Amino acid sequence: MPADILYPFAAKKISLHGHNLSFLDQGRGKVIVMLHGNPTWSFYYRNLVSLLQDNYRVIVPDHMGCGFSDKPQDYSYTLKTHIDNLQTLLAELGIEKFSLVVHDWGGAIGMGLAVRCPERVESIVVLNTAAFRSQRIPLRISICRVPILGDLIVRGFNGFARGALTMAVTHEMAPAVARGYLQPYDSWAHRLALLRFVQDIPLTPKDESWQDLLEIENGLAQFQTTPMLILWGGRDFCFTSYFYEEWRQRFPGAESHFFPDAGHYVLEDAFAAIAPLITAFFHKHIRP
Amino acid sequence: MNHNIAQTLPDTARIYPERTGLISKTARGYRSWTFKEMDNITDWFAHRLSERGVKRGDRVMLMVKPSLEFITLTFALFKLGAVIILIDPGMGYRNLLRCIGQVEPGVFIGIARACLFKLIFPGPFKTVRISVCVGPCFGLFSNSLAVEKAEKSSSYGTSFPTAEMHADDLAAILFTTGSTGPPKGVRYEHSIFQAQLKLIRDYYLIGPDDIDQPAFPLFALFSTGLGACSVIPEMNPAKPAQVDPARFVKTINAYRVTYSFGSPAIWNVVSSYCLEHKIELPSVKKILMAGAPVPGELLARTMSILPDDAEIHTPYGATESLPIASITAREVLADTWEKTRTGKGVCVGKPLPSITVKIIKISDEPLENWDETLPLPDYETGEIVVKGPVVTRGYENNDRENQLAKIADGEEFWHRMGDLGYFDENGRLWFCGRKGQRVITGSGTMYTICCEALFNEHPAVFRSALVGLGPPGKQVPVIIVELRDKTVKMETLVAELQHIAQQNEFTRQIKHFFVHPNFPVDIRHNAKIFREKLGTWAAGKLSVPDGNEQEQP
Repeated sequence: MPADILYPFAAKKISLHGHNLSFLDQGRGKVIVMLHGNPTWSFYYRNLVSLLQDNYRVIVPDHMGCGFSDKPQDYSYTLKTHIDNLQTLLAELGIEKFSLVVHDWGGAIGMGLAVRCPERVESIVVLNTAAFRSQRIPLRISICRVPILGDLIVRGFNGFARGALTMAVTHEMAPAVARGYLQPYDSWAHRLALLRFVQDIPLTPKDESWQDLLEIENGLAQFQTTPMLILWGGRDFCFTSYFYEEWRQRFPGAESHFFPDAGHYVLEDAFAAIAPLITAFFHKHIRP
Repeated sequence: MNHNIAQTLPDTARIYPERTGLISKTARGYRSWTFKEMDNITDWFAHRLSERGVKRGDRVMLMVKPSLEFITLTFALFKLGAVIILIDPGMGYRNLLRCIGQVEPGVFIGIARACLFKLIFPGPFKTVRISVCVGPCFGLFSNSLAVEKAEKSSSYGTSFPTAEMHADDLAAILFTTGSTGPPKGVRYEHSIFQAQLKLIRDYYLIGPDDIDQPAFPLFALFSTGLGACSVIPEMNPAKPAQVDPARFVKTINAYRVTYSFGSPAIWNVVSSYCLEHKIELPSVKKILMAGAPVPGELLARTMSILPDDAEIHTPYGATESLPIASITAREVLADTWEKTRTGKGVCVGKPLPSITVKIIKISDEPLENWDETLPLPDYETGEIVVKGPVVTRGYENNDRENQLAKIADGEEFWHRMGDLGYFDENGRLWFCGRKGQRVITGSGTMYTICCEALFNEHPAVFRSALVGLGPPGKQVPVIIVELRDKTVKMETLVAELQHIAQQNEFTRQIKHFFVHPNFPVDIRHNAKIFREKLGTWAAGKLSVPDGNEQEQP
C-alpha cells in the first residue's frame, strides 16, 4: 500500500522567502493547528485530521525541511525560523483565533507562537513535548549532536527517522505506516532538517535557541486559564514522565491523561483512547 | 427438554420475583413491573387468548408498540405455542400489506390504530379468525385486552402452562427491512432464539444485573429472556434517526441503564446532544451498535460521553443470522478504522463462538451443495457464508429465495449473507458491501463500501454511494455524494473528487460525480444507504450508451 493512500489529503503549498512550505487545510469551522516534531511530519496527525475535519478547520504544516515542504540546504533551521514560518502561514490564511495540538518539537514551536499572541489561542492539546528548558537529553539523542558522527547517523543511515519507527512506539508499526513516516526522508539531503532539529536542542545558554526557549518558558504562565489537555505516552525515553509532571505543575487546571503503555508517538499507540478525549475536549471548549 | 423460549420468564420470576423487569411510560407516567408481575400478566393474557381460541401453531399478527403489553403478549403467545409475526411498521403500508398476506395470519392482535388499519385494508387479513384489540380502544372494538383489567381480575396470578416445544418448532416470523428487494419473512424456530440468548449472554456478558434501554424492540425480549430489566425509551422505533435525544438520555440516567442496543443513527443524534449539553452517561457499560457500518468518528464521539471502562460493540449480522461477528470500538479506532478509510472495507471482527464463517466466490446463482473447494483464501473478496446455531433455516413461503440463500452441507446448511467480504491473516472478517450492489464494469468488480470510503474522506462530504449504470459487465460507475458543507463550489468539489478517484487503482474508472440532497436510507436503522434508489435517480441524470463510449455529465 503506498503511503499516500494513508494520507488521502490534498496538501497545499505556500512560498516563504522562496521556499515552499507544505500544509493541510481541511474542513471548516473553528481552527485547530497541529504541529509535528522531529523526525515526523503532518503524517503523524493523519488519523486526528480525519477525526476532526468534519467539525473543524484543521491546519497541519510540515515544518520547513520536513514532510513535503522544501528542504533547502542552506537555511537557518532554528526554533525562531520555524515559529516565524508558522506565524506567516496563519497570517496568509487570515486565521485569527486558533487552538493548538503540539507534539515533540511542535511544543516549542506552537508555544513559541502562542507567547507572541496569547489572546489568539483558544485551547491547547499537549502530546509528549516540552516548551521549557531541560538538561535531560538521552545519550541516544546527544550522540546525534556530535559533529560528523551525528551527520553520519542522522543523514547517512537515516538513523533518527528510522530509529524512531521502533523506539518511539510500543506497538509494532504496520509496514505501510512505517513507509509513510520515512517517505519524505529518502536521501542525505532530505534529512538535513532532522539533524538541524537535534543540533538546535538548546542545552546551555551558548546554544542558539536558548534565549528563544527561555522567553517561551517565561511566557507559559499566562496560559494557565486556557483550556488544556495533556496526553502522555509513558514509555518515552526522551520526553519522560518528568516532563509530564512539569506540564502538570505549570498547568494545574489542565485535564491530563497518562498512557503507561504508549510510547513517544502516543497518537500511534493510544489513538483509541485518545480519540474520544480529544473529541470531547474540543467540543467542550471551542464547539464547532 | 422443553425448548420453548417463553420458559425464561417464569424461570426468572421464580429466582428474582421482586426485581424490576420493566420500566415503561403509561398514560399515567412511568411505571415499573417486577418479573413476578410480568409473569402474572403474561399468564393472564395467555388464559384470555386461549379462551378466545388462540392455539398452538396459530400464526399471530402482532401489531403492538414496544411496551409492557408487547413483551407480555409475546411471551404469552410463545407459552401457547403460537407463531408470532413481527413486521416493521415503518416499511410503508404497501410492503406491509404484502408481507401480511404472505404469511396468512389466523389471529390478529393490535392496538386501536392497527385495528383501524385492518378495517381499512381488509384484503390480506382475510385468513384472520380471531381479532383482538389491545389497550384503549375508545369503544371502537369490543372486549379489548388491557393490563389494567388483568391486575383487577380475580384470576390474576393463575399460572398458565408453557407449551412443550421442540427445538425446531416455529416460534416467529421476522421480516427483513427490504433494504435490498422486497421484504422476506424469516422463520425463527425456538432453538434460534435460545442460541441467540446464549450468545448474547455469554459473549456480551448481559444478565440479571443489567438494565437495558433497547432502541430496537426485539432486544427488549432478549433482555427479559436474560433476566435483565428493560427501560422502554420514548421513541418511535420505526424512526431511530428522529429520536428525541433529551428523552432518550433522561431515562438512561434516571434508571441507571447499563447497556443499550441501537442503530448508529440514534447514537449520532444522542452523542452530539450529550456533548453539546455536557451530559455524560455514567451508568452505561456497553453499547451494541448495529444495523450499518459505524464511522470511527461516531465511535470516538460516543465513547467520549461514556465512562472510561465502557465498551462499544458493533455486532455484525442480519435478520437471518444475528449475531455473527463482533468488534469493539477500541479495536476499530486503534487498528482497523485507518484501513477502512483507505478502502479496505469495514472490519466487523472475528466470528463469535459457535459460528463458522467462510468466504466463497461471488455468484448470483443458487448453490445446491457445499463443497470443500468453495472457500477462498485470506484476503480474497467473495460472498460471506455462515453456519451455526443462530443461523435461520429458511424464508417463509419463498422457495426461490431459499434456493438462492442456502447451501446444503450434509445434515447441516450454510446461509449466504448476500454480503461481500474477506478474512485478514488474524481471522478478522472485513465487509466490503452488498453483493447485489456491487458494480461490474468492463474491467472488473467494484465494491461499494471500499470505494465510498475514499470519497467520504473529503471534508465537505457527509456520505457517498457508488452505483453502476447500465448492464452488469458494462456498468458505468458513478459516485453520488450527500454534502455536509453545502456552500462548497461545485466545480472545485468535482475536481477534488476526481483527484481522489485518480489516486487509487480501484477507483480510477470513476468519472461521474453527482450531488444528492438527502440520501434514501433503510427504514429499520435509518442508516443503510438505499443505493438502488440512488441508481435510478442517477440514471435519470446520465444517459449511458450501450457501448463503452461515455457521455460527460
